[in-house]
Amino acid sequence: MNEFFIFFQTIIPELLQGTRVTLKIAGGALFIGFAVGLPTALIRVYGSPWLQLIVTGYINIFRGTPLLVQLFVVYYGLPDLGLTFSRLTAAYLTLGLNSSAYQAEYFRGAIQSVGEKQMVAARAIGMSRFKAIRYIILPQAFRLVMPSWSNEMISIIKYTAVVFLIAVPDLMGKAKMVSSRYFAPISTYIIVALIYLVIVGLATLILRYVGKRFETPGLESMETATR
Amino acid sequence: MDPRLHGDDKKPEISTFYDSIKTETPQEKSGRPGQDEASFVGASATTFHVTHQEAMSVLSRSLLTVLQYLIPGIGITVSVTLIALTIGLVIGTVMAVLRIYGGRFLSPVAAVYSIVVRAVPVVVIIFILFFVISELVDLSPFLSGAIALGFASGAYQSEIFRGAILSVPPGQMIAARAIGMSRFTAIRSIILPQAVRLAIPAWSNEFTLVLKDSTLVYVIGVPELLRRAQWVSARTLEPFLAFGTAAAFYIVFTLLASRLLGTLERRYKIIM
Amino acid sequence: MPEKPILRIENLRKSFGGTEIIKGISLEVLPREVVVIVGPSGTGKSTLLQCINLLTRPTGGRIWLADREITAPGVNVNRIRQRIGMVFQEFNLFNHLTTLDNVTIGLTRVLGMKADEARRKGRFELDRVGLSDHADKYPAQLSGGQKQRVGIARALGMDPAIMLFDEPTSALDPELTGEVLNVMHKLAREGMTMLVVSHEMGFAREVAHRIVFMEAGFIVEAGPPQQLFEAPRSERARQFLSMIARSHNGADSPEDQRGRVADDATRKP
Repeated sequence: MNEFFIFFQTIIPELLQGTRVTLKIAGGALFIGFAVGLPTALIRVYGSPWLQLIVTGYINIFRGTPLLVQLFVVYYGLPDLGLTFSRLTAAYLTLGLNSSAYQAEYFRGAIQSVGEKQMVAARAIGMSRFKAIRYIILPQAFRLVMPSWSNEMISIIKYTAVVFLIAVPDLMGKAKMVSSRYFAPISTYIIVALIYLVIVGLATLILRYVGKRFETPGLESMETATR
Repeated sequence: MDPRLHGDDKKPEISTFYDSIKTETPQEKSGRPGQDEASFVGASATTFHVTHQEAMSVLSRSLLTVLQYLIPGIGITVSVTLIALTIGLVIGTVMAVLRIYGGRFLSPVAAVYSIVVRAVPVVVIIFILFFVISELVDLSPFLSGAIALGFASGAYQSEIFRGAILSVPPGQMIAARAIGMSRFTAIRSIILPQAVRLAIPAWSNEFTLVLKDSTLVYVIGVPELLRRAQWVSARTLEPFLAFGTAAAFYIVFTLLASRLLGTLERRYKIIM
Repeated sequence: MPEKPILRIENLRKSFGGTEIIKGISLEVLPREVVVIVGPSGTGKSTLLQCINLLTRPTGGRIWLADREITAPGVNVNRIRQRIGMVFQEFNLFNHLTTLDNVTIGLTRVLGMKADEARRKGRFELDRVGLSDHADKYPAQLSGGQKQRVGIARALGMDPAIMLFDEPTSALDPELTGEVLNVMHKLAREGMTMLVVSHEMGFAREVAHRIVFMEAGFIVEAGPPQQLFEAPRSERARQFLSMIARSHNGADSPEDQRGRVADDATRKP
């Protein structure tokens, strides 16, 4: 046990460096996912039939294929088509677009469960479609989407763990270097698991607090299928 | 440490679409095209004489090679998925029952398993179990991978079944006990059969998730679809075609799986 | 002196898919007039209201609000809807906003009013419907009757030229309809122009200046309540009214209803 602690102390600085990269990628991916996912959801619900078809295709492609395959297509495959990204950019982009497809589905579910009647009432007092979406539909959808969005945040933190396979020096990347340097894979990955456990635990607590703060009577929660 | 683990260190050669067309003139490729922009531009300029037909025939020849490599991987991907799902089903059911009916000692054990495993990336679990298993017994990466994936899926499935059991109306247990069933019999023949049906939608979702997560056994060198896509991309030097085809396979599988499970769901729906 | 109508509908038609719901309706509503539309369900009464504030586009005919033809091409529908208050059967309150904000959001976001001015106006309208004590509650914390009164206050806030009521009490438990009908009665006394779709015969008898009996997309008969209730000219109207009287027998028969509304009205501040 003592041996384990010494090992822990030896490798933790390096792992924490990687953790910082992991968190950055997760944050960036969630942001991209939101920035792309929300408009995607709006098009999916309010867009013209053609746009809806395109957007549905986009969502199905990203939700129907493994993240790791997407990562390889983006990093190794897209250069074939003249699109070349650095490792880090590829990581942000793949995770971000992947998350956008899931976030779009969560937002779509939330928007649809706000209901058509709220739109009608907003239009009846003279709001434009845009204003109705902005001031009536979205504020409610955001509250409804909180539980699924929290789950998505946790999922993305965990799914960043594949980016080391394109040699991004995240927590897993560092872990791999450390474990082969010290020939101690089991202890290394157990420490890695503990770090993820702490991150996910903290994120859960924060999200629960935020969720409480934005609670509105009548808009308590909505559980949608998550990954 | 298993040398296969480092398979991912050796990235396949990357090339552009035009590079790969002129297979007759092998040229030293120096890393990723982003790093030698000049040679990329040069290459594309010299290949403009390649006609459309030629390009198409080269493309279909490469596609054939890709398929030759990928198709044996389908069986592996599907078996890893099915084994993992089965293991997860057993663990998940047991853990869900323990979580709800396990009392003061077993219930927390089930809770800790579910919370810890779901907080850790599946890839990490695969690594840990792969190394732990290889210390204990001599198993192929295929089996270790499937077991690890099943161990991870068990935690997610336990949550699915827990939710389903809790949404069986409490009157069902009371009614079962009232006609003289033991607690165990009531759980087995009244509660679980209903819970299983209620769980089908969420379980379908888990099915496609495990199917997609089965790519993660790539990291311990299992020759599933993705690993084979990597091999063939190193050979044909057309990673987009290789990984894109793999992606297409997955889309077909996930669509098929959700169709199949959708039928199942409609068939076994309980009207409540 | 004949007054100019606030609302004038001329040969209005509306079809969904192949079926015609409204088959040529003409109707005028004068300032301060209360018109109650009655008739069997599924005869296009709600569709008529939705056509008037252009929530659904009529397939034929024309509508004027005061002097302005609102069915003319190029009319800004949002402008028109600001001037037509709408009260829904299911209230349709904005669930994420407090009672007060439900009233003020139209003022700030549509009319561009300053926040504190809007709040003053909002409180005034809540007071009008007797809900100033509930300004900070959310819709989920209100009873059905209170929700509908907020719905009325929200519409009143926009200072509409006419108020449309789409079966405002039919989603309410019987004991809660009184408070809503009271508010409507009060509005009528204040001189608000109202077009009401309702099954509340007591209210119709008591408050309406004119009753319009609609069936199968047509106006079958229209006239003052006295005439329509006591001596309907058409056989269909007679049948419908006696059926309503029978089915609402007991607490909800027209006589009792009137008694209750009047009673409630005197009890209210």
